[in-house]
Amino acid sequence: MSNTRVNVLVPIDVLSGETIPEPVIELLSGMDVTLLGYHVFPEQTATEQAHDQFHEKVAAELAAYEARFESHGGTVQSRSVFTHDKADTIERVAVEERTGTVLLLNPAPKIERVLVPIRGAVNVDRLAGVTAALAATAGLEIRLFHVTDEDGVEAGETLLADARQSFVDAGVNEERLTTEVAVAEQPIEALKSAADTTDFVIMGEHEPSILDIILGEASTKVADSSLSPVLVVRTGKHKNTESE
Amino acid sequence: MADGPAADSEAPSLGETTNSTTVTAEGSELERTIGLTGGLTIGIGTMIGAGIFVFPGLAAGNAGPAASASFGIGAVVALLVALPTSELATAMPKSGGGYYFISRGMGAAFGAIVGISLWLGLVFATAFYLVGFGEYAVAVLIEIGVPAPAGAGPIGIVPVLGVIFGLLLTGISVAGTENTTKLQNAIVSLLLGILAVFLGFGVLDALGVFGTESTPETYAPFGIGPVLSTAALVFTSYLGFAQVATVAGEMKEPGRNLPLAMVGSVVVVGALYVITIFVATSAFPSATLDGFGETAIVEVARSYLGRPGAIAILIAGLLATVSSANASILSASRALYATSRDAFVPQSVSRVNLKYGTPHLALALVGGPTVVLVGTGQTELLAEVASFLHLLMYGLICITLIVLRRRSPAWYQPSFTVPGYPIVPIVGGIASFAMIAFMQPLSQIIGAFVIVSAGGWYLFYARDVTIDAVVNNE
Repeated sequence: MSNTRVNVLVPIDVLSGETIPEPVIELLSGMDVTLLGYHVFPEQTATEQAHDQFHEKVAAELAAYEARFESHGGTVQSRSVFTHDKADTIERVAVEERTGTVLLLNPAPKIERVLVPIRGAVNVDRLAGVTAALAATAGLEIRLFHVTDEDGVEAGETLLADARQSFVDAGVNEERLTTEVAVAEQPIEALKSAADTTDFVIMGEHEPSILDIILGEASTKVADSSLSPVLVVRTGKHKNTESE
Repeated sequence: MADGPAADSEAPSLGETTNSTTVTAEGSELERTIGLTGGLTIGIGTMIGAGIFVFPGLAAGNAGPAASASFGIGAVVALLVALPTSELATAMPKSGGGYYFISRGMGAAFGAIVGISLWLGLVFATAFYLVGFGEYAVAVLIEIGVPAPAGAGPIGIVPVLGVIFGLLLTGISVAGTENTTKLQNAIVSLLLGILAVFLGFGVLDALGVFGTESTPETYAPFGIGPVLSTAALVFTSYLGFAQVATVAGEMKEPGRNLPLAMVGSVVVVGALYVITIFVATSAFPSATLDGFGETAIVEVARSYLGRPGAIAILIAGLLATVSSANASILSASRALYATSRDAFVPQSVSRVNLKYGTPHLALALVGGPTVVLVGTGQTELLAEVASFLHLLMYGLICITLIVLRRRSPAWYQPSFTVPGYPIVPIVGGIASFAMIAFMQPLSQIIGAFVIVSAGGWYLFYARDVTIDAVVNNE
C-alpha cells in the first residue's frame, strides 16, 4: 500500500488572506490535491451576492496556487464555494471528492520534523500509508506519539512498537522513525507541547468526527497552538453529516 | 436528516442545482446550509410577532369575537398564496423570492415595481414590529415598577424604545454576528413552548374544564364588514411565509423544504392565531380587550395564570417582536440585493463589506427608513401599508404562476406543483387584491403612493434594464 496515491483536500480561505506555505506545496507535490477555496459569509449576506462580488478574486487566487503546485510537479484541481457553514462545505466536498485526508493550514517555514499522534490501533495502517507517501518525497523525521495515564504506559509502548512496524512496512525509513509515550493528565496539553516542537502533524480522524477535529475546541487548540499544518486522515467510512 | 439520492455524493457539474449546493455559470459553488427547521423558523419567526402579541386587542375591538374568523380568513388567503409561491420557488430556487419570480415571469416593469415595493413593504413591516416591541418594553418597565420618566408619557417612550432597538438590530446585522440562526431557532422554540402552555390552559378554561364556562358574547357584534376589514388589518400577521422564498438559494433540498417550510409555517401560525383570539375573547369582553391595546394578551395571560403568566407573555412578546423585526431586516436586504443585481437600483447598494461580510449599505437602507417610520408610532397604519405592499406582490405571484404555466418555458420545471390549479392561484390572486380593498383609505393612499413612486423610479432610472434569463440550466 506504500505506493497508493493519496488525495488531499486543502480548504483555504483566500478572501481572509490565508496562504499555503511553499514547503507545504512542495510536500504535497506527490499527492492528488484538491484546493477548496471558500469563504464563510454571515446569514445577512446571500451566498449569491457574495459570489457576484468575489468569485473572480477567488478564482484568480486559486489559479495562482494551481500554477505553483504544478511547478512542483503536483496534480491539482480546485473548487470554490461560498457558504454560511464551513463544516457543511468541507464535509460535503471531502465526500464528493472521496478525499482521504484534509489539510488544516498553518504557517510552515520549513518541514523536517513530523509528529504522528497515535491514539489506538484502529487507524494505524491508513496513517502509515499517508505518512509513507509524504515521506517518500522528502527526508522527513517521523515521531510516533502516544499520550496515556500512568497505568497505560506498558500498553502504550506495545501500541507504538506495533505501529512502528506498520510504518516501516508501509515504506517509512526506519532510521528516521522515533517513538514516544508521554504520561499526562491532559492529553490535549501534552499533544500541544509535542506539536510545538514539530513542523507538521499527521493525525487520524477518531471518534469525534473530522468536523470536530477541524472545528471542535480540542483540535482547534492543537492546530492553533502548534502553529504548524495538520493533516487529518479520514476514516474509511464516509458518513454524511446530519447538520441541520 | 438523510441526504438525498446517491448522486448527491458526486461532484456536481456546471450550472447544476443539487440538494446541497448550486454551481454557478462561473464554476463556483453556493453552499445550501438552511434546513427545514431553519426554513420553518424564518417563516414562523417572522410571522408570530404580530398576530399574537400585537393584534388581539385591536382585532377584538374592531370585530368582536369574530376576530378569530378574521385571522382564519387571513390564514386561508395566505395558504392560497403560499402554494403558488412554493411552486415558483422550487422552479427558481434563487435569492430574492417573489421579486425574482415576478421579474422572470412578467418582465422588467413589474419586476422593478415589486422589487422596490417589497423592500419598502418589509421596511414598513419591520417598523410595525418595532413599535410592538416598544409597547412590550414599556409594559415590562411598568410591570417591574419603573415609573414613567417625567415629562414623557408611555406614548412618547414607545417609539423611542423602538427606534433604539431598530438601530441596535441594524448594527448587529451590519456586524454580521454568527449564530443568529441558532439564536433565532432557540427563540422560536421557546416562544412555541410558552404559547403551548398558555393557550392549552386558556382553551381548557374557556371550555369550562376549570369551572364555569365563560359567557359567550355575540360572535360578530358589528356584522360582517368589520370582520373583513379586520382580516385586512391583521393580514400583516401572515407576512413571512414568502420570506422563506427570499433565502431559496440557500435552502437544502429546496424541492422538499421550500413548500414544507412555507405551507407549514402558515398552518402553524394560523392555528395559533385563531386559538389565541378564541382564548382572549373568552377571557374578556371585546371592548375590554380593545382597551388593553397592543399588549392585551398579557392581561389575558394574567387572568389565567396570574403574574407569572403575565411575565412569561411579556418576555415572549419582546422576543417575538424582535425576532420578527430581525428576520424582516434580513429579508429586506435580500430584496434590495436581488433588485440591484438586475440593475433596477444602483449595484453599489448591495456591495458586501469584506471585513464584516455583510452588505452594510443595503442594511442601512433598511434600518434607516425603518427607524424613521418607527418614530411615527402608528401601529395600524404601518401594518396596513406593509400588508398592502406585500399583497400586491402576492397577487402578482399568483398571476405569474398562471402566466408561466401557460407559457411553459423549457426552464420551468417545478418539483412541487400547486394542487387545484388553476382555481388556487386564481382565488389566491383575487383574494390578495380584495384584501387591499378592505383597508383604511389612508393606508391605501400611502401604499398606492409607494407603488406609483416605484413605477416613476423605473421609468426614470431603469427603463432600459433588461433582465437576465433564468439561470437554472445555463
